[in-house]
Formats: sequence, structure tokens, C-alpha cells
Amino acid sequence: MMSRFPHWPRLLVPLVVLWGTLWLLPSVRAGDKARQVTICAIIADPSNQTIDPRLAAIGPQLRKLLPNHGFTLVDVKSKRLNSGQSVVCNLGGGLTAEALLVEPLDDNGKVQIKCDLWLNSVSQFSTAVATPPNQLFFCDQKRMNGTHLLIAVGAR
Amino acid sequence: MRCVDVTRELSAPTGDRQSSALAQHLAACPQCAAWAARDMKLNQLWDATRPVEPSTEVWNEVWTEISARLDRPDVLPFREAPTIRPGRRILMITLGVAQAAAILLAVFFFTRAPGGPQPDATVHQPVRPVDGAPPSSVAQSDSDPLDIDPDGSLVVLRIEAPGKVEKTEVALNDNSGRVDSGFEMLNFLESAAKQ
Repeated sequence: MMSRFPHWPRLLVPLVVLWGTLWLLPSVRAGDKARQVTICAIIADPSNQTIDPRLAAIGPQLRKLLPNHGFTLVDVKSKRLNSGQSVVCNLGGGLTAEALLVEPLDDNGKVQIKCDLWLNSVSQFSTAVATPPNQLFFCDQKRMNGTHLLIAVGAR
Repeated sequence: MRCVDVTRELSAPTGDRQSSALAQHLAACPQCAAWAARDMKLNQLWDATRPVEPSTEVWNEVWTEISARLDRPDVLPFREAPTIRPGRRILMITLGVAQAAAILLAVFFFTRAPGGPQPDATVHQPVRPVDGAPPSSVAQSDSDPLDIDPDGSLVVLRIEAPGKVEKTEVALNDNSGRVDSGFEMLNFLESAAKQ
């Protein structure tokens, strides 16, 4: 006995699934080359033990990093970056901190990031790091007035 | 006799009642007489229109046929499987294989996406997090990125001079089973940036 319903709608379902999957693949590949990169600038001051209320949640960790210091949040930025793109923190006074995504995923499964500090477009320091995803690292530069400039960078 | 006894006797005769008593009640009670008249008409109508009952032989034949069908294995009316032309069968198999391949590809690319499993991340020798461990100074160049593997600690790169970096690891986790502190800090800062 033949079915009253034609077979072509059943054939259409795998076709639609196949088309949808193939359509998704380029975006998946694009997602593979993108990272959410976060950069944050904090001033650590040994003469003022106050912790900025905006940093209260991570105060204990910062205290372990630099005991007997107060911490003030200067700027924090987070941006989804592709390879070769950067996110910049404006620290004021012509000072900027920049995190450049060099390699979203290298052969060792790490994210390569270049961290720069600029003063009026003149490099103050530059360091390239290969770090696991979802891990924060700090760059610490002691300043002339005894305070520390902490630049935290992480990528997911 | 009461009326209810009369109607019951007329509907389902038991034969126990005396017909004289029944006739006497019907003669004296107009309601029961009318009821008896309607009942008689209904019986006459049923006798005139009732179908002919099958004979015993017919019943026997019917039950024999039913028993024979019940004994056969194909007693249930299964629907026949639809016939598929060979060309269409090949097309369906091809589509199935293509669909499976596409799903495998999608799974492969999803697992390589950020946030997915990073099998190569475990290849490196982990740096033992020691609180207050002596810092290691390294000369830095762009072509050779500083490889860090905090393994639960927080890495601090102290900038001594341009091109000279001192790497320090600070143990943050207290082994209490909580989420990695460095991961928590990153989440916090990322959400702070979006506010």
C-alpha cells in the first residue's frame, strides 16, 4: 500500500539541516579567531591604604599582589578582538595602555597578547605574553612617586 | 393489582400473575389500558419489521471463519512499507552521510572555539605556584613571547626597564575548592568594563 503523503518533505529536512550547518561553519571559524580581551589600569599607592569601592570585590587578591597598598581603578576596557586588533585604556596625562591580540590561539593552545604602555605615542614598555585563555596577568611598573601602575590583561 | 405491577407484567411477563386479575385491572384503569394498547402496537410493529435472525448454521460458519483468521499470523492489518525507488534510496543515503559529516565538522569547530576544550594547554610543564618564590628575570622580545602558565597563581610581570621583565607568581587560591581567583578577577574586570 502506498502512502498518501509524498516523500519529498522528509528529504527536505536533512537538506535544511545540512545547509544550516554549512552556513554556520564560517561564523564558527570566525569565532575561533576572536577573543574577548580585557585591560585594566590600577594605581597602587603605599601611602594611601584605601581600596577603590569599584575594586572592593577583588581587594583581597590585590592586597596579596601588593601588600600594604591602596588601589584606585583608573580605567577598564573590554573588547572582542580579532588577530591584530587592540583595546586601549586611557590613563590620562597622555598615558595609554594597550593590549594587542597577536595570536588568538597558538600551537600550544595559548593566547598571545602584546601589552604596551605609551606616553604621547612614545613607548614606555612593551611585553609579549603567551597565556592560557581565561587567565589574568599583571604588568607592574613602579613610578617615580613610589606608586605602582598595575595593568591587568586577560582574554577569554 | 397495582398499576406498577400491571406495567411490569406487561413488559416482562412472568406468568405468575393471574390473567383474570390483569384483565380486571385493565378494565378498571384507563391509564394502564392505554399503556397496554401502546405496548401491543409496539410489539406488532417490531414483529413486522424485525430482521430475520441467522440460523444456527450461519452462526457456526461465521465463528469458524473468525477462529481461522485469529489463528493466522498475518491477522493484523499491517501497512505495507512504502516502496522506495533505487535512485531515491541512494539520494537518501548520500544526504544522511552528508548530514553526519556536517555534524562532525560542526562539533570539531565548536570544540576549537574560544572557551572550548584546549587539549594543547596541558602539554606545557606547569610552573609550581609558590608564594614568595624568587622572581625570574627575563629579557623580552616581541618575537619570543613570555610563556606564562599560572596554574592557579597570578603572574605579575614587573617592568624593571624597557626590555627587562621580572616574572613573579603570587599564589591566590587557598585550595578551598573555590573558583580560580585569577579567573574570578578577569570575570569581575570584564563585567566592570561593560558597566
